[in-house]
Amino acid sequence: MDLIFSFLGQMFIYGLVAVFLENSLLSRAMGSSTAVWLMRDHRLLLPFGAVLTATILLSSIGAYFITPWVNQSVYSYELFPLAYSVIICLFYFIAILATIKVKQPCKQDLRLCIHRSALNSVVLGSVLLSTSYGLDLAGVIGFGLGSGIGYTLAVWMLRVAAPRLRSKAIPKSFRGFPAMLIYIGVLSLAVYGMIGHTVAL
Amino acid sequence: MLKALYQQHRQGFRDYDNILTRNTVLVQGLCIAPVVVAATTLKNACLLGLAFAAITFVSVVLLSFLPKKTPFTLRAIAAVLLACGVFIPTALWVRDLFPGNIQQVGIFLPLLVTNSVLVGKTEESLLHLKKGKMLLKLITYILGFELVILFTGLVRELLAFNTVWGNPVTLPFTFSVMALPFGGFVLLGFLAAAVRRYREHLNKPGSGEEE
Amino acid sequence: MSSLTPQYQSRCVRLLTALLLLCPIPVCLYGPRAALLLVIGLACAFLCDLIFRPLFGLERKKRDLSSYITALLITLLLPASISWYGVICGVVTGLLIGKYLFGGTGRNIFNPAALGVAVVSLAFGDTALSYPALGQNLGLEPVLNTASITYATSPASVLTVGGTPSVSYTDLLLGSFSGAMGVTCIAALLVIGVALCLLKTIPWRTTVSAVAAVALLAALFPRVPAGVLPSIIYELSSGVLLFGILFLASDPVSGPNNNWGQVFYGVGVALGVMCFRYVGALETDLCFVLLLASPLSKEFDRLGGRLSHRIARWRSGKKEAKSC
Repeated sequence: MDLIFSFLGQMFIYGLVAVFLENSLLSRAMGSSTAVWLMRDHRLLLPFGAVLTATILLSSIGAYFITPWVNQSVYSYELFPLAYSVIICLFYFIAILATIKVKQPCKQDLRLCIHRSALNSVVLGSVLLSTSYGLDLAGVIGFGLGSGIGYTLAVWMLRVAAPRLRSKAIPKSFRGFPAMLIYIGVLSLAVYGMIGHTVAL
Repeated sequence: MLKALYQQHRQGFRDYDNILTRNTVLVQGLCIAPVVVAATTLKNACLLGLAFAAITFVSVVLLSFLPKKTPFTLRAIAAVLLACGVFIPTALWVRDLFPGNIQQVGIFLPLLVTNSVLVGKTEESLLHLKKGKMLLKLITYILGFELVILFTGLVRELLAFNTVWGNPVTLPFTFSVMALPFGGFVLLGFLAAAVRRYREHLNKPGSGEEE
Repeated sequence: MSSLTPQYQSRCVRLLTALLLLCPIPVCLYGPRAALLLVIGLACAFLCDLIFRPLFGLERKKRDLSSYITALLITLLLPASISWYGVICGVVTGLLIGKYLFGGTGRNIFNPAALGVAVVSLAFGDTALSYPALGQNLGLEPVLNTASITYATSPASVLTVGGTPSVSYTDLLLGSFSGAMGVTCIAALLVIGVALCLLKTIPWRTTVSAVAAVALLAALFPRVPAGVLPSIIYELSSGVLLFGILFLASDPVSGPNNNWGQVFYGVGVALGVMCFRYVGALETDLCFVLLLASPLSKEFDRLGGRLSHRIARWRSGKKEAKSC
């Protein structure tokens, strides 16, 4: 019982760290292009977030088990992206196959979410981070869940401000994308203020 | 003169000018992460720029040889796995060129294998073109990225550390927030606004006289 | 040139008056340098208005005092030993990025003063978060020689390491301790705060809910080993909390307008600040929390609106039941 609580507790702590302190979008700007896309089609935010979180979680767990093997090589730094990408692509392929039985129009939206989430820098980045920190399984699961949820929350914060970023009051040159970049920058400043130091790249 | 040229060949600029008026980063919003977070010095920017060019160019060229009937999913998987394969010699090469900087760029070097030009734009706007046009457009994507990342690296290193390529430069102040993602985002935001303003100027009907 | 609403103008006048009433306190505590920094801040705001407004194509509004209020807020949230460049950087960043870029007066998403102070805290970390001891003769030069200044430990930094500040309650009320220029005289802040709430210049719901939430959290999770009451008093009077709640969190443009929304916002800001205090180490924690909370002000309004609607429905249901 103690082991279970300890496992869950560690998961929770690393999840919180991933959501707030090591937020994929606000601390590391990962998935910025996808965030711009999601701002345009925000009805897909929740389904995309769910698919992304599941992809990160499963890929992180898979990466956790193959990392010791890859670490044995002298060229482990060069081989990690290949090893992790194989796992991510495997889950991507399985996810696409799993949508065969799903009915339209859900099928189209689901496939779109899977296409955009699987081969995304957020997924590979979260996997690389969780293994580079040397987390145990509880930490990997928590960090994976937190990364997906944190990214979704960050994009939601963008969506909340989207109408104001496109407002006619903003000078024309800054309206839309430039204002969005500066908006994310200010949010990242706030997150940095909480951590009090730069995240390890 | 550029304004007259732009207005005469507007469609051509729209299709191929990913360097300025439809810049890869500043207008299309691609590959923002390495520019904002990791390109805090000119050396880091060069490292990432070279790696991006090598990985993206070789991967897209190899991908273009896949049969056109290959399903989208398999093509996307092939794109990433090819990029991972190209990453191995590229990482060894840039490690030799910039021995101290690999740690500084952290995960942003391996993350280039899933860059949005390769994973998104290739399928959308490159693979259906003929080889010659595809190569031209690909080179413009890469040059657009290089321009932004090198400029950003230079400005941020100058303001945040008062150095250029590690050599000290005398400036009356240091603005250390430029080394943070905040500085990267704000700089990119202003650059994006400047490019948009310039594009508006080019689009305005005028005398066409050079200014 | 268009005008701002009379309510907004009178609010600006009252806020400016309140801030100007606070200004003599740092001048008494730190000498003429404090006055010089305040003048530099105001001059910077004037120049920013002159240069950036036409540059961004923004219309100048009659009797718009908001930039001067921002400049005073930023300067009063900084230490008296900060360089001129720190004040200039804070005011320019706050106004340029926080205000003009997002459309000018009445359109800002972030509180410009919070943004300016946040940037200065990180850009000038050494000097922006070090507070000089009282009674020193600080020079008037642009950049002070830090070796010649005696710095004192502020109550906030003592709390961060789990200690009990040695400042007496009387000194807290009179502002006889080291801290940012405008935030230390708790008595003045309390009087001004009550006056502004009574005059409806600042939303009392945000203020009261934020203060109450901080007090509750300080009581439940004290950082001070000396007991519940000292914990509440020191948490409320340390850092920039009270000043920030009165002048920054109460901004009607970047804050919510719905009654319940203001309550939720105040509680949310308090929660954020206390989390920052347990995890982080910056004294200007409230500014960073406001940068995260103010974009969500419309969501707080929406939440508050739903709650108001539910309460109204419940009350009308009760009335119907009674009449039956």
